Amino acid sequence: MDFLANLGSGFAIALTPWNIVYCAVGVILGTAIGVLPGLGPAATIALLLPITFKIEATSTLIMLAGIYYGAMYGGSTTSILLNIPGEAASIPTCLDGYQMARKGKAGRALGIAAMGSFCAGTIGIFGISIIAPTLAAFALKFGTPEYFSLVILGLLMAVYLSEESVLKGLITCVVGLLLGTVGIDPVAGAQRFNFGFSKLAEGFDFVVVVMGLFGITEILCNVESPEIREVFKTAIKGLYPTLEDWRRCWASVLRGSFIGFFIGALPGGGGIISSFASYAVEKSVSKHPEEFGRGAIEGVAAPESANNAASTSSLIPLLTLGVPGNSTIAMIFVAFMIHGIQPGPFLIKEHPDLFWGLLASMYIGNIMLLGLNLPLIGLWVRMLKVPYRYLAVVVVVICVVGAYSVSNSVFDVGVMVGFGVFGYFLRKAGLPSTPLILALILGPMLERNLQQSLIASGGDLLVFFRRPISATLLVIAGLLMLSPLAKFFWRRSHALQTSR
Amino acid sequence: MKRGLRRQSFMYFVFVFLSVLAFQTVQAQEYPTKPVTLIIPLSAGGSHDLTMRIVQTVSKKYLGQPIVIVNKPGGGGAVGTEAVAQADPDGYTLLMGWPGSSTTLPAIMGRSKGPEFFVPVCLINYSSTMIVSRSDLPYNTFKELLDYAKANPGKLIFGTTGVWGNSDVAWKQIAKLTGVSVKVVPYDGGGPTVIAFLGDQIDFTAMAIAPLLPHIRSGKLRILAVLNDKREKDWPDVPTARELGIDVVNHNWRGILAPKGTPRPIVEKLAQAFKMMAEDQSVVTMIKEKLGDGVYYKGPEEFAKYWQDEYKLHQELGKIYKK
Repeated sequence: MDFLANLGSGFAIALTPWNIVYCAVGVILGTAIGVLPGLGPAATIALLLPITFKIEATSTLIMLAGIYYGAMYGGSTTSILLNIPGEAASIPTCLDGYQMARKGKAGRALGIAAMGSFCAGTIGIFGISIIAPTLAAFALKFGTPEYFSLVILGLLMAVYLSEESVLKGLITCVVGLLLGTVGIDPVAGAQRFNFGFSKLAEGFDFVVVVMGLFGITEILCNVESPEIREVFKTAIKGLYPTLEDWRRCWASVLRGSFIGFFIGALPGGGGIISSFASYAVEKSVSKHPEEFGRGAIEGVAAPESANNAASTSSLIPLLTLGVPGNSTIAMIFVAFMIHGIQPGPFLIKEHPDLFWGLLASMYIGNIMLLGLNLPLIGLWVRMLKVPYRYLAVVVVVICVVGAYSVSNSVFDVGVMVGFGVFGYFLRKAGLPSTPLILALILGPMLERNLQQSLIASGGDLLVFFRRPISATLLVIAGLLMLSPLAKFFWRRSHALQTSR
Repeated sequence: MKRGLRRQSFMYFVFVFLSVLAFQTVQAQEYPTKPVTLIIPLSAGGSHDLTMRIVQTVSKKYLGQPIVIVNKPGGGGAVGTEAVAQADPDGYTLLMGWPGSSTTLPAIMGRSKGPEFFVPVCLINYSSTMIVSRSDLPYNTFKELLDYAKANPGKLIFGTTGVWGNSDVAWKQIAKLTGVSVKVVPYDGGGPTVIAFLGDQIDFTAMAIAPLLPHIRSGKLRILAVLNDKREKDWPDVPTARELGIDVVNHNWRGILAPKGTPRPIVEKLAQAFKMMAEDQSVVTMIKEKLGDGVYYKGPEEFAKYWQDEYKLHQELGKIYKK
C-alpha cells in the first residue's frame, strides 16, 4: 500500500495552513480568469512567475496548478451564460449549455458542469496517482503520423457525429482549414495570406476568433430578434441539477472523464480533441440525439467532464517526462525550472514530497472549487435577469477587453469584430461555426504533422498505414465516413422487409 | 530693414539651436525623469522574458527610475520590434533584442527590423547551443556523427525548434562548412522537439540544453559538442565544435536596443546602468540559479560589432539556403 502511504504524506504537506492558503489563492484566481475570457491561465501564470521567485517550490506549484485547473472550472460559466467560451476546450459546452440557459435552465447547466468537473477532476487525479508512467510511455508512441491521423479522426467526428447536416459541416470545416493556413509556412518559413500584416504572421489567434464567432455573433442575432430577451426573464426553475438530471448524466460524466483522461494525456491538442470527441460520442450513444444542440444536459456534462479530466492528465507528460504539453503547462514547467527542480523521470524519486504534495493539493483544490462554484451559481443566474440591452453591452466590453488583452493589440479587436460579422452570415445561411473553429485550431497541427511525417519518411505516403496506432485511427475515420452509406442501406433493407 | 530682419532671424536660429543643444544636455543629465518601457517582442515566461524580468528587479537602484516590461508578441518577434523601431528616440522606449527577430528575420526574410534601425545599447547574456544526440546510435562523438552522416546521406533526422530558429540556423552553419546532408524536420518550439526526441522521432538536435537535462542524466541522450568559443563550465568534458575543426558559434543572446537617433549621452547612461544591473550580485545569482545562464555584458561598441557579424553571417546563409 505504498500508494496510500505516499498520498498520506502528500496530504500532510498539502494540509499545512500556508499551502491551503496558496491552493485557495490559486483556485480563486483560476476561477476568476476562467470566467473572464482573454487573459488565459498561461498569461496569468507568466505574470505571476517573478513573484514566485521567493515562495517555496511546493507552495508555488500548488498555487500555479490551482490556477490551471481552476480556470477549467471557470471556463464553463461564460460558455453557458453568454455563449463566450473561455477557452477552446469549452466550445462544445456552449452548444447545449447556452441553449439550456435560454430555456431558463442555466442553474442546472452550471450545476452539472461543476459537479461533472469535480467528478472528472477526482477521477483524473486518482488516475495520475496510479498509472502516470504507463500513460506517459503510451503518449510517447504518438509520433507525427499518429497526430496527423488523430486530427483527421477528430475533425471527422466533429462533422459526422455532432452536426445535423454532414454536408454543411464539411463546408465550414474546409473553410476553417483554409483560414488555418494563414501565417508562416511551418517548413519553408514563407509568409502566406497575411497581406503584409505582421500581426497575422502567426495566424489567427483562436481566442480572438472564438470570441467573435460566438460572443459577437450571438449579440448581432439577439439584437435582431427582440423576443428572445423574454426567454431570459422567465422564472429560473431549480437552481441545481435534479435527481432526474443526475440519472441522465452520470454515465456521460464517466464517459467524458475517461475520454478526457486518456486523450488529454497526449501533449499538444489532446484537451481540445477530447472535449469535442466526448460531445460527439454522447450524441451518438444518446437515446434522444435530436435534443443535442437544443439544450441536452448530457451535452454539457460530457465535454465539461472531459476537459477537466484532460487538464489533470495533461500534467502527466510534464511530471513523468519533463515535457510540457500545452502553453499553460509550459509556464508551470518554467516555474519548476526557476525553483531548480527538473520535472521528469527522476521527479517522483528525488522530490517525493513535492510530487505527492501537489497531487494531494489537487484533491483539496477540487473540493474548494466545488464549494466556491455551487454557491456562485445563484449569483450568475441572477445576472441573466439583467435586461438583455444592458447585458449585451457588458458582453461586448468583455469581448473587446479580452481580445485586446491577448497580445495588447487593437488589431485583434478588429479581427474579432470581423469574425463576429462573418459568424452572423454563417448563421443566416444555416452553416454551423463549430467545425470551422475546430478546423482553424487543428488545421495548423494537421499540416505540420503531415509535412513532418513526409520529410521523415522521404515522401512515402504509406507511413500513415505502416504504424499500427496511426493505421487504426485512419481505419476508424474511414468507417465513420462510410457510416451514412451503411445507414442508407440498412434503412432500405429495413423498408423492404416491412413492405413485404 | 531687410538686413535687420535677416540678422534677427539668424539670431533667432542661433538661439533655437543653442537651446536645443542645452536642452539635450539637460535631458541627458536629467534622463530618466519617468519610467522607461522595455518591450519584449515575445510572450511572457520564456527564458528571454525571465532574464529581463530578473535584471529589471534592480532597475530603480541603478537607473533612478523603474523599467516597465511590456510583452508585445506576434510575428515571431516582428510586431514588438517594429513598434520600437518607430517609437520616439528619447530613451524611454527600449527593445529586448534576440537573434530571431533582430538578426534572422530581417537578414533572411526581409521582415522585422535589423541593425540599421537601432542603436545597440548592450548585450546582457546568451545561452550556448549544444549538439545533443540519442545515445543508442552508432557513434559516440560529434566527429563520428558527421562521418556516419556522410557515409549514410539522408538517413539521420535532425529536429529543429522551428524554421530559421536557433537550432535550424546552427545546423545550416554546420552543413555549410561540412557539406553533410541529413533530413531536417522542424517542430513547433522546444517542447515538441523534446517530445519527438524522447519518442525516437528524431536522432539529434542543437539547442540550449536546460529542458533536456533529466534525459541526459538518465543516459537516453548525450551531449556531443557545444557551439561556443569556449567550453561550458558545467560540462568541462564536452568539446567545442571549434576544437573539432568546425568553426561554428551559435548563441541565443539577449540584448538592449534603442530606436535609431537616440542621443549618445542617453545610450551611454543606459549602457552604464544596465551594466550595473546585470552585474548586481543578486541578479547574477538569480540568473545562474533560476535559469542556469551566466551574465556576459558587452558595451555599445563591442555589442554592435557582435551583432553586425552575426547579421552578415545570416545574410550569407539566407543566400545559400532560402528556398
